[in-house]
Amino acid sequence: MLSFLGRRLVRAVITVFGVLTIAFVIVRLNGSPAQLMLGPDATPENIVAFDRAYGFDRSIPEQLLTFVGNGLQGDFGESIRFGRPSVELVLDQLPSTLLLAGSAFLFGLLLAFVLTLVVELYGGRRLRNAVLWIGALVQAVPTFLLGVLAILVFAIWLKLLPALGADGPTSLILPAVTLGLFEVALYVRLFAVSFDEQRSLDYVRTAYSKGQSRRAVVLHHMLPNAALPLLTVAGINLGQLIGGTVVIETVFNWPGAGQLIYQAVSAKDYPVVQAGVVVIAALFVLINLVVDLLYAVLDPRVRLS
Amino acid sequence: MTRLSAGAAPGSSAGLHDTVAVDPSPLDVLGVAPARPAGRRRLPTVSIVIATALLCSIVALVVLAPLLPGYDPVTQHLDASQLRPLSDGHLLGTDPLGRDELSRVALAGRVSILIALAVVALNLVIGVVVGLTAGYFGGRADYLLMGLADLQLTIPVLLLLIAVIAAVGPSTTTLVVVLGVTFWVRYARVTRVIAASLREREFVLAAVTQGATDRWIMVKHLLPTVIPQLIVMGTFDIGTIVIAEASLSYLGLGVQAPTPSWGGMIAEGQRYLQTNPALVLVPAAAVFALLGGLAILGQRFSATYGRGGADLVTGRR
Repeated sequence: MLSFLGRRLVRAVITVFGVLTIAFVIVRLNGSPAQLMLGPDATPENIVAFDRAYGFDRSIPEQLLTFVGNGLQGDFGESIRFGRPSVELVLDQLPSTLLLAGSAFLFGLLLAFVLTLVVELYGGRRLRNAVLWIGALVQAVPTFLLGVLAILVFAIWLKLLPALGADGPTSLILPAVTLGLFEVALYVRLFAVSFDEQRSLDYVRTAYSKGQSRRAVVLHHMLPNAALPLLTVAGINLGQLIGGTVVIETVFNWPGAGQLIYQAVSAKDYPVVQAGVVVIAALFVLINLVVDLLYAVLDPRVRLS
Repeated sequence: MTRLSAGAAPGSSAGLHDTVAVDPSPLDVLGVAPARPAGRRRLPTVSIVIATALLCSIVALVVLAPLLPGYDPVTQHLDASQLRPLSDGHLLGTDPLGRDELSRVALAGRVSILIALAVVALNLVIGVVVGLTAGYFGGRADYLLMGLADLQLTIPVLLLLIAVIAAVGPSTTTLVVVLGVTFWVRYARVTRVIAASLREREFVLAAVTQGATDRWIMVKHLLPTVIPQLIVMGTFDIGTIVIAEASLSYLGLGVQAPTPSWGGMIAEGQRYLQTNPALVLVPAAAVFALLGGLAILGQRFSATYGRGGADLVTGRR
């Protein structure tokens, strides 16, 4: 157990350093960070001054060390556009993104859970296949397209919900449900695979042969085992969800961290990009650690190995 | 995660059910198709017909549209902008700059499919090399390479893609290279599992005793056993890559104007959503035909061969 958590902790630390390095490299990909941030109009004098001001004239290892050191303390420099510490900008927008990702995640997981139980308890093969087919089709449509179509149908044609922005709780519905639909599809299919695996195991047959009802077998015997593998996937997926809201935030003009980072990318405001990437990756690492912990608590095989 | 990666699933859901037919009521939801007698062939199901029709229509669109008399995805006609579909000479109407929508959708599809093929090919090559190395040699190489692959699951991939593409400068080449070096992990996992399971088999040992080099064994003995499954995976992954490309193009980081792309067309159409939804619906229909067709085939395939769960978690969104 301890060595399991120790390994995970080491991996988390490596990941954080990896992401810091990637954030460091991104700015230097085209050779000159000054050129990248100042744009094509910069004069050579500007570039030299910029390099001196931001320490880009020092050796690469030295720069990397400084960057990682500052980054670990949450210092990525000031935003070029706003003149404020870039981490602050990201942290300001983060709750909005977490709200969106969190509601989509909960919506998706709960609906998938309910659907799966209904199918397992009361459904036949036909219902099960129907759910899986719809899931496969939903997953096949890019989320941004689903979002644009949702705006068209619910905001423009039916005039039920606001299309863009974030005023009031109703504006959360469209983006959250759009993101959530993908999650429903994902979890329904994962649940189906997971239940399939359990179904062919001896303990299920034993339970049925003892004369237990389908309800008892599904709820008491299969569900805990079938739900466990989902935990890991849900952890990874929540992380990807937080990092992946950028597209849907753009579709719905939702003022979140993804949108901020995307705009910073377009405006070449790289301190904000770096801060955003690292903050979200750190969040991601944290979620995965928590999931690993949960897993160790819930699954004795992990605890004892 | 590892237990859900491809290669673990085949065969796991089959068997057993035919022998425990004591209580039919819970068993009819088992969802496992009864084994068909050998030699009897199934007629194509409705779903396969639909999927084939969708895919054929897309292939026909991207291949045949350039042969039509009015094909011109580039020339702007500002006096004929935003014509509705079924207009004279423009079957699907024109865009805000008066360019023919049918031609643009067709060219966008062609670009999108070519990009996806190139990316999948690049993914396959990287995945096979990494997977064979890790699986065949095992030990430290395995630990290092698979650790690297695991690392990718713990970082926000899409966000990094956006940052990297913007820093390098968006272009079709950037897109292919960046996506190509990103989505190889699943191929590497599958290859590794197969290679590791074959390493101790007699035909490999026989080759070793005859003095075969590691490279010879990997290329001549292991590679052929991996290829078929990877080809299947790669085929269905075309959808994943098309989605990634369309999303990035929607953000303006993928295929660059004046070359049309489905994502870019939808992004532009969104601005006219209120007045002219056809600008979104036309590329949307094309996207759906391609991705829906692939998804239906994929679903059919995993229902038949029990490969479920393998491809469900990807970094796309």
